[in-house]
Amino acid sequence: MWFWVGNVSPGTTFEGSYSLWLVALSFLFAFFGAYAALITAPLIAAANKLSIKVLWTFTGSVAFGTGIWSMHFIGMKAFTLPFPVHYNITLTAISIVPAIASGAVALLLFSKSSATFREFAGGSVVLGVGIGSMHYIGMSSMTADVSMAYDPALFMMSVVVAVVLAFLAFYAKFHLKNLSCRFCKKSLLQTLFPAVATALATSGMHYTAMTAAIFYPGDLCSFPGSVIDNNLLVVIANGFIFMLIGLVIVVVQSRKVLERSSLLENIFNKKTDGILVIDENGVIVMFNPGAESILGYSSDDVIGHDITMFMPDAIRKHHNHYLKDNLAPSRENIMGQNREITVITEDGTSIPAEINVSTFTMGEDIMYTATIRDLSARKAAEQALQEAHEKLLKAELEQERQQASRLEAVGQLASGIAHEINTPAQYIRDNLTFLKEGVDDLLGVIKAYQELQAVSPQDAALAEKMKAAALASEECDLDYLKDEMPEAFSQAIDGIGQVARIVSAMKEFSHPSSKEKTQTDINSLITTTTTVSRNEWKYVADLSTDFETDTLSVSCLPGEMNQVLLNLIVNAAHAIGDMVGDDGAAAGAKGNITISTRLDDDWAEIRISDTGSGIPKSVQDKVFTPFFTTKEVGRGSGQGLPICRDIIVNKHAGEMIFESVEGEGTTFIIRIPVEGRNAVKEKQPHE
Amino acid sequence: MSKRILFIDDEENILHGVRRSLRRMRGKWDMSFAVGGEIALKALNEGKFDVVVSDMRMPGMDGAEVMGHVRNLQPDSFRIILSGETDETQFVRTVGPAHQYLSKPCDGETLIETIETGMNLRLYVGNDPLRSMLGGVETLPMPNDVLFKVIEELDSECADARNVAAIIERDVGLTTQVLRFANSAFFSIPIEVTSPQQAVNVLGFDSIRAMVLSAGIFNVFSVSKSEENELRRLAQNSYAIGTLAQALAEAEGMDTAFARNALCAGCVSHIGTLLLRSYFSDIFKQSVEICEQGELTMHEAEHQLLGNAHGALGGYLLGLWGFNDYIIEAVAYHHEPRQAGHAVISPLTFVHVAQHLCAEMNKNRTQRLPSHYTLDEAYLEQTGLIPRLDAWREIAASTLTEKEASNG
Repeated sequence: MWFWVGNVSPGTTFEGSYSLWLVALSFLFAFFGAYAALITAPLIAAANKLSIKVLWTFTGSVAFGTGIWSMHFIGMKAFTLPFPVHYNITLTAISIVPAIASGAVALLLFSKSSATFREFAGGSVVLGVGIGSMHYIGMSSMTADVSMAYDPALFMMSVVVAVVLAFLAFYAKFHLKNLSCRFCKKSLLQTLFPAVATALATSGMHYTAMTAAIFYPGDLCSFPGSVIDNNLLVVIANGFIFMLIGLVIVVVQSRKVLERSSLLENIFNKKTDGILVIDENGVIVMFNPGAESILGYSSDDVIGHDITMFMPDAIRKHHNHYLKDNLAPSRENIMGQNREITVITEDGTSIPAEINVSTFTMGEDIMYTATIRDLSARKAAEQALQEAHEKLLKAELEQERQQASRLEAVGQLASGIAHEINTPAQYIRDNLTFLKEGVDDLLGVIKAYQELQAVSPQDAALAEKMKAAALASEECDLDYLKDEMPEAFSQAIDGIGQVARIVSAMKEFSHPSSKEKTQTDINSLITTTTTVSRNEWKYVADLSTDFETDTLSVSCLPGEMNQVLLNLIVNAAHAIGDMVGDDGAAAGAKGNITISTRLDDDWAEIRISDTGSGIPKSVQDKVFTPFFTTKEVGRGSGQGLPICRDIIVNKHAGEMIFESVEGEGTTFIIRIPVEGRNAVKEKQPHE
Repeated sequence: MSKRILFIDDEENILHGVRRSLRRMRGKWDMSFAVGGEIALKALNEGKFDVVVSDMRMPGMDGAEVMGHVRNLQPDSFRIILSGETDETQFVRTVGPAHQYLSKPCDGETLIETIETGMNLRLYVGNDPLRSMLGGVETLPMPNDVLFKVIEELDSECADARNVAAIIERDVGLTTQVLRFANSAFFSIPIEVTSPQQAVNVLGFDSIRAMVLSAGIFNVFSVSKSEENELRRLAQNSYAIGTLAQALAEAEGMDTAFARNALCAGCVSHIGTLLLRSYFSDIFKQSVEICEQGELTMHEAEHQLLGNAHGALGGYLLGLWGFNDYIIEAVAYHHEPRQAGHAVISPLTFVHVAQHLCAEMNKNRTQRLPSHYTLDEAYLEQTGLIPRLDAWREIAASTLTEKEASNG
């Protein structure tokens, strides 16, 4: 190789000319070679055996190298020189080696999923230099009766072009892969673009290098040895590259087909889902292992038999008729739908299954493919779940029923007890009344007798008796009896009145309340509840009521409302008890519980205020949380307020809030809709 | 002649207690005591009693049954249940055969007062057969469509107390029974219930339903359209009298209880008319005929034919059923207030004026001559209220027009 130094005078060199068609063809050869090589890259990456990896690398790099090589010689053919040109066979053959070698390196790099800058910079140098080596070895195989020298700057330039464009190819592969582009498919960036860049690298290098070559008269290029004609070489190159590229593409494509069919085979042979194919007469054509395990038959036993063998008797006779009607619109609904059916297995048992039938045509024939899934396990699980659910529901109902019957029993008992107490109360009161009146009368009589004492009797015996009488009345403290006895009877009569009130309140309170809402006077509920709960509050508080109206009628569940009121009254008493303490209570210090009701538009409002300890700010947001309690064990379950809230908010569509100042007291405010008021307003115009 | 009173209870202690607590009445009353229903019936077969007081829950024959027999044997007797019963269905059974219900424990005072009030009622109806008829009234007639409407409303999803009350107001018999029921000692409601609305509120739908459906309280019958309209008109008129009487009482500065008594009295003022229609239909028809000839008022015609008018009949029955004295008096004398024997301003005053003003308004509006209702101006003179008449007419005009409007 000679480099030309200094200026070239025009008359002393030979000028060549290019055929544009062949230039384009040379580029296409470089491109197809690179493209064929690059489509093997994923196969190299996926190869799980070294031999396969080597095989695909070899195949790809041969395609790559041959592409470069063919490009060169077609490029040479495109360049017409004014003297005959031949090529030395040995050097021509050698020139393909660097192309294939650098192609192998590049291909291995392309088959990687990612590469560092250093790696693909190195790779592009290898590829650029490989292309360059091929070119200059190829150039030195040129045999003609001229001399050839290279312009050193353009020579350098040609290698740089190759390296830079190779770099572009790698850059496209590794750096543009994350580029989101609606129009470019992944394969475009992964294969097509690098192939174009590689082809540009090859042809760019070649044509830059050709401008570096200077031909002048001399004998530097005339070698002895066997040579090959330019035209023949091109034909060989063409044939070679076409065969190779064709081979690579065919191999790669068939490989893909094989992979797909193995994938299909894998799917078909999976054991979980059964797949059956039948023809339009209902004869089984295919039967996969999944179907075997579900239905218990082996595929040999069933292929060629009628599909109805898996069907229950009832359906069997209709099936062929269905098949014949497969064009009926109703079939459309069945195709592609998941249906639950019953199938008969080899041992004659029926199992639930899900089936999805679709139809396809093969040539002129209509085929049906069915996927079938065994539902026994799912059904069993569903049934177990259902049973568990029913059991739970039954237990709940039973509990509710027991609770209801217990409440009813308590109500009846209370009613019976009320009757039993009322009867003796009647005659206790009657007798007390009688005794009181009798004592009054007797005292009148006694007074009359006492007046006798003022008379001085003549008769000594009488005087004696009178003295004894005076003594007797003194002994029994007659004056005291006279004062106390009427009062004792009055108080006893009051006591019986109190007993009657409590009994009546108890009866009202435990009255088996109706399960439906009923118009109820809230004020009487409050009176009843305060009476039955008197023992809870009377030692710590004075209770007063303030009703804005005589009656406050609300549609509600009276039993549940009683429970809410009782809870809140007992809570109020406890809060006051905490504040007053046992000592305070003993000393007579008492708090106040005030219950007021009022009608506010369509809402009945109940306020239950206490002057107790209040609810600390820190727990105010927890008071309606189930099982939250600040009371000591045994005094509160923490269920009271949540239940109250449930009754008010969920069962009566009402509101329940509280206002509390620690150390000053708490007010619970319940608001429930009176109900029906709006309805009345709407109805009125029609009346 | 002292009143003969029979006490029945299965518990001897009760009878002893009652005997002792009523010792003070020994001069006035001739009291007998029977342990259980059988002994009581024997006593009743042997002699006549003015008053029978019985326990409810007894072995063998219970109070309701005993009272049923007593009603058949001696319908004019005044029958009281004295019971510690707390079961509402048992209570409902007593409402037909017995006139009143007293809860155990009941003090002697209440018992004496109740019995004395019942005995004093005889002043209103002097005639024995009439008293027997009234005393024997067990059920009130109720047109079946009223029953259907009440039940329909009670059972509807959005049942409303005001709608229920509005339906009740459209029937005099139902109104009367509902008020009687609500004021019964069984429910021990601390206030006096004077309007159907109030009654529905305090009793609740369940009790109203139980009462309406009880065969022992109402005699449900189907009526012709014209009868139905007539009964409806009777009820509407009564209700108008009630509301007007209340409005007048309020205008005169009377207290709430007073005004409510006036309302209640007005609402039930024509229960006597209902009784006449059902039990003396011939006399009722004759009275209407006489009345239409224009010679006598309805109430005069009734007097002439029966010896008593609807006011007295109604007052007597309401008395047996435990309505208060003001209401009894107002109903009994609403056409002849001077018969009350005093000129104290009472609910009677306003019911009397209200019935007159209502008639006057009707006459003005329909141009139809009803019976010539009269205003007892002499009575009003005595009360000193005669100058208020013009103001009252204005109130009547506005109250009744309002009512018309709301009735559509």
